[in-house]
Amino acid sequence: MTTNDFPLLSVMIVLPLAGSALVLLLAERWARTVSLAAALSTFLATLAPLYLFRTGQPGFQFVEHYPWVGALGISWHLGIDGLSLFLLPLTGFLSLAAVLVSWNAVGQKVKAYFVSFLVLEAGMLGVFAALDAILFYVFWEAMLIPMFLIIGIWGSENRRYAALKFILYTVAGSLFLLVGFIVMAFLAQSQGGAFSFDLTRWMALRVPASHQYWLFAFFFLAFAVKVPLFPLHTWLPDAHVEAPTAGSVLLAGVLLKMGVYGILRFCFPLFPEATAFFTPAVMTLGLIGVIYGALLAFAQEDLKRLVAYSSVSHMGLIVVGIFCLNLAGLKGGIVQMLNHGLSTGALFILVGALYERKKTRNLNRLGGLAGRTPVLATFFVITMLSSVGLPGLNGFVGEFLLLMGSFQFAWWLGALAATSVVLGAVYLLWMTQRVLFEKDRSPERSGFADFSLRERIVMTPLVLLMFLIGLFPAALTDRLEPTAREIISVSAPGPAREAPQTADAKIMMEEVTHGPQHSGR
Amino acid sequence: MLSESIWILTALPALGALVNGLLGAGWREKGIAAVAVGSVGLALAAALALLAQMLSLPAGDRTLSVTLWRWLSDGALHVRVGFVLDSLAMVMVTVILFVGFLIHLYSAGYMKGEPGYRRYFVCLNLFVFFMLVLVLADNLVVTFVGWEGVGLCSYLLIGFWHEKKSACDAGRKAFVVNRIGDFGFLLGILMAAVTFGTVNYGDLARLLATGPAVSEGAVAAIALLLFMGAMGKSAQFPLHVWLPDAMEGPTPVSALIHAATMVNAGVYLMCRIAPFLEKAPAVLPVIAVVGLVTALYASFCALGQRDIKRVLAYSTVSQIGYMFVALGCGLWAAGMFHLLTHGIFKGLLFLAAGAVIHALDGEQDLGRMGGLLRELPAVSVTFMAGLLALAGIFPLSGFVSKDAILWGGFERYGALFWLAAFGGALMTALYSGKLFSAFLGRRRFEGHPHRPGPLIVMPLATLAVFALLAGIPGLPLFTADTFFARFLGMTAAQAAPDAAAHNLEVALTVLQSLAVLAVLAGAIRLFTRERRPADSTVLASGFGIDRLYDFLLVRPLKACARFFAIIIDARLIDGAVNGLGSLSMALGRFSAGLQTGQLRHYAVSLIAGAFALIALTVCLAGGL
Repeated sequence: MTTNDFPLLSVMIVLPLAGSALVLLLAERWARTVSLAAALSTFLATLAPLYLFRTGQPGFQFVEHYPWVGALGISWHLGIDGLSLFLLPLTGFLSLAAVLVSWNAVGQKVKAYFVSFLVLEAGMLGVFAALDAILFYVFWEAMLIPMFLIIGIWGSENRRYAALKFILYTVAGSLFLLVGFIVMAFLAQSQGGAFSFDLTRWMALRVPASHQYWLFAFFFLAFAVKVPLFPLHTWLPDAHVEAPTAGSVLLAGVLLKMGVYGILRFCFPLFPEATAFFTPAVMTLGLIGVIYGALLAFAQEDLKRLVAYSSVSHMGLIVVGIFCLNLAGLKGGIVQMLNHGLSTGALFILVGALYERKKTRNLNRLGGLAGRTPVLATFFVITMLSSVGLPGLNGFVGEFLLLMGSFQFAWWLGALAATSVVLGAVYLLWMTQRVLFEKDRSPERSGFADFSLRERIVMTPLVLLMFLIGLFPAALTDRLEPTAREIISVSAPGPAREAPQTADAKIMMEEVTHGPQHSGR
Repeated sequence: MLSESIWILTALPALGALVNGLLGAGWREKGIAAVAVGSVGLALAAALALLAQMLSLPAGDRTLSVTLWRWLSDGALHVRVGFVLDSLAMVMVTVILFVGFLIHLYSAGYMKGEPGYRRYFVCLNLFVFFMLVLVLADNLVVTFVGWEGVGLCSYLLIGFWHEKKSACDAGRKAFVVNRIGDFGFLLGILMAAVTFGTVNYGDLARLLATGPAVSEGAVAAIALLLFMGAMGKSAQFPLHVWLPDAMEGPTPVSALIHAATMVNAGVYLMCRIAPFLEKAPAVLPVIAVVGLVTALYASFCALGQRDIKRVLAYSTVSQIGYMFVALGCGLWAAGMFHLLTHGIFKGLLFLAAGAVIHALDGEQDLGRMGGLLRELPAVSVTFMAGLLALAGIFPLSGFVSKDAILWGGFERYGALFWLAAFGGALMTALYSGKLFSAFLGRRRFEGHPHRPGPLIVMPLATLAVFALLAGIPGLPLFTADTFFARFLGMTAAQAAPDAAAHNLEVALTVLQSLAVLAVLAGAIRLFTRERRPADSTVLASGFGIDRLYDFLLVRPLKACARFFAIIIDARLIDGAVNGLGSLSMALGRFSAGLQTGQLRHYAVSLIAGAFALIALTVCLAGGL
């Protein structure tokens, strides 16, 4: 572990919070500018670890550890590894994009809106950096409230239902998580001597197999809701449809990643036996999600619902890949989290741009935009292709690794998972045709303005990243390889982990072998 | 130094696409065309220079390769972006850039005044780029990048007139059907990577030859999976359905992508992985049969079409089938040679068809042509030259390349196989005769066709000359050891020359040539008569295979999606979620009802509760 003198991660989390306080204090006309400044500076701060991160070094870096509630073993413990390294700048960038796409879209309660976003950003960054379970939980919950408000206040017609569904679903899941955390702290006490919520200490624990199964189930439930894993996904389409554009961008781009992040961070290292036990069931659900999500995407008329179901499909593949627990699957899963954040975030930005122009997201009322808005159409097609997994773009890298991992696990798993290659093309090309091509079907006779400078500024870096990751993925995968190896080594139900059991077994064996000897004598 | 220059070949068309795409907004058509045509022209010049260089080297040293960067690693597997230019790739590069350059030139005139002029050339340049990546790649993954890239360009160009629903549908169909093939391709790559720990062609060949033993079944499985990809891209039965519809795109696109280059990628891929096929010869009959069925099936379909482009499309499917027949006989050089000659004469036929369609203001119906020779002499003569080559008339290029394939089929799979392949050749002559009727006989159109400009005639004339002469590298006849095969360095192991077999081969060739000539002459007479034979609807619809797919795949999939969306997701899963919500609400209401605020109610429940507790304790104590 390396401890830097400069509390980079804390600063990263405090920056948006400070920005939100400033927005609150200043007049409404400053809200946008201040938020932009806060989001931009946070984004720059999230970039810093990319340069300073020491590739190849296992363990956490940029660690900060201060006591917080000492009596309960809670501390302000932050740190990142290859898993969180790229999720931080993704969050930083998509938050910046969210501020930019909200520039003209929000008319009422502007201050509250931007405050919500900045608090949300702090919460998201905190989740990815926290190494203390309670700290993690605080950020996890703190993030829900602004998202609840964003959907519930600035959403469209059916926003209350969607917001309530979103928060109840997630809170129900996270209550199980809290119970699990507390049990883990007691376990730490019984094994390590101190009541502690410190994740790095937990990782050294040996959770008894009897506890592992239900603890895994408690943890996994909370994370599976977030992924969302079939059949816990129905909150997502509703939340997306009702959320404002920026809300959807962050929801799909960052919030969904927390499910997979949590599984990798908590479930795998803490409960290896349970992980192995549940793997067939989880993989089945993931595979169902891949195919089911794709089929449902094909049946949607609302563009946002379509993208939401495509997320169910894509995230299902990620779950399948990481549960293979091999290098390719894990690297693929982590890379694809990033890619899905980029491409789905970009897709929602584009959908928002379409909605601002045509005032509809209904696929039966769109069409014919390619001829009128060529720049928008070009961005749309590239983003769609990134989602399809066209080689040369980022989506293929993740897909390739995930399928490789599945194939290494079992050839038939790879074959089943690879159906997503065909299914994705079916619904995404269909969507593109309905939106961009054919004749214009919208009753709106106007709304043919091509991308503005602001929109180009938002989309260009996203598209550039799609190309860069697609062409030079090794820069990414090399950095997260040590983390992937570490996850494999700690998640393998190997001899080191089963030490007490093997010791027991040895004694039994000795008894068995000595027994006859005694009786013989 | 020389090796490093390979990537320039790919960089030039990419640069053309970038310049036009990023800077070309607002440029005049001439500027855009200059960039696009110029970039491909420069690449062609570079390729010809490399070819000359290559020919000057001794036969064993003709492989240039360059590794650019490491793309991705997974454990011991390292995938690098690298190119290799050997004689096999050189053949493809030459076809791509030579035909590609002429078609770029032709397009500059053909697409004049189109609103999407710049978009067209960006896509066309991008296509050439991806096609070069495909053939120059030194490993399966980079080939796959080019493979999907050309598929993308094909999708974008088929749907070039994107306001037309039929064009969009056709583009989408092409992409999705190709993806079905690519599903196999991708699994093949994964399996090769897992089995051999590498995806590099050179390493794979070395491991197959000298490495640790790998079961023949695994090798065959990899080869078959990759062949599935080839079937998609090269429109082999039953994945051929996208190609006839692809004719919705502009005609030069059909010429370049759907005749001369992209659709041949499957043949190229099979030659690239020839070491697999040699190791697992059980796969060869599969390839041969798929090729033969496709060749025969598509030649019948071609006969039933009214649309001049659809005749050519089915003809392409059929001719690629012959290439696969050659590969299925283990005759790599013969397959590649037919690819070369077909690329030239079919490119020519499409370009000439485009000129005809232009001249007749968009008319594509063969029934409304006829007698064009007098109105459009240059176009007609070149078209007919292409037709003669296609039909395999002695001594044109198509004759030389097809003859080798038919004999190969006879030699390896016997007389019945030969008979079927020969039947396909006769069908080829038959539908070629139908196409002849557009130029001979009485005119069946109105108005005055406008003659094409020099930008269109020049490529036609060039290609026509090559269509006549391109058979030369395939000489000498009656041997697998042709000039072309020697250049390719892929000569099949020769059995000792057998005088009887040789005499039979010569006899069959003479028989074939005479029969084809007779059928062609008969067909021309038949189709130029006043009362032409009616077109069969069964053949026109390709034996109804589209409807079959619609019935078996598309509709069930759609119904399934709708069922899942309406019943499973909305009713069942979300119903359960909402039900849980309503249940807790109802529970809440019920318990709220208990809080009446009246003291006597509370008193009663207090006493009842106390009694219940006592009873419970007593019971439990008694039980213990």
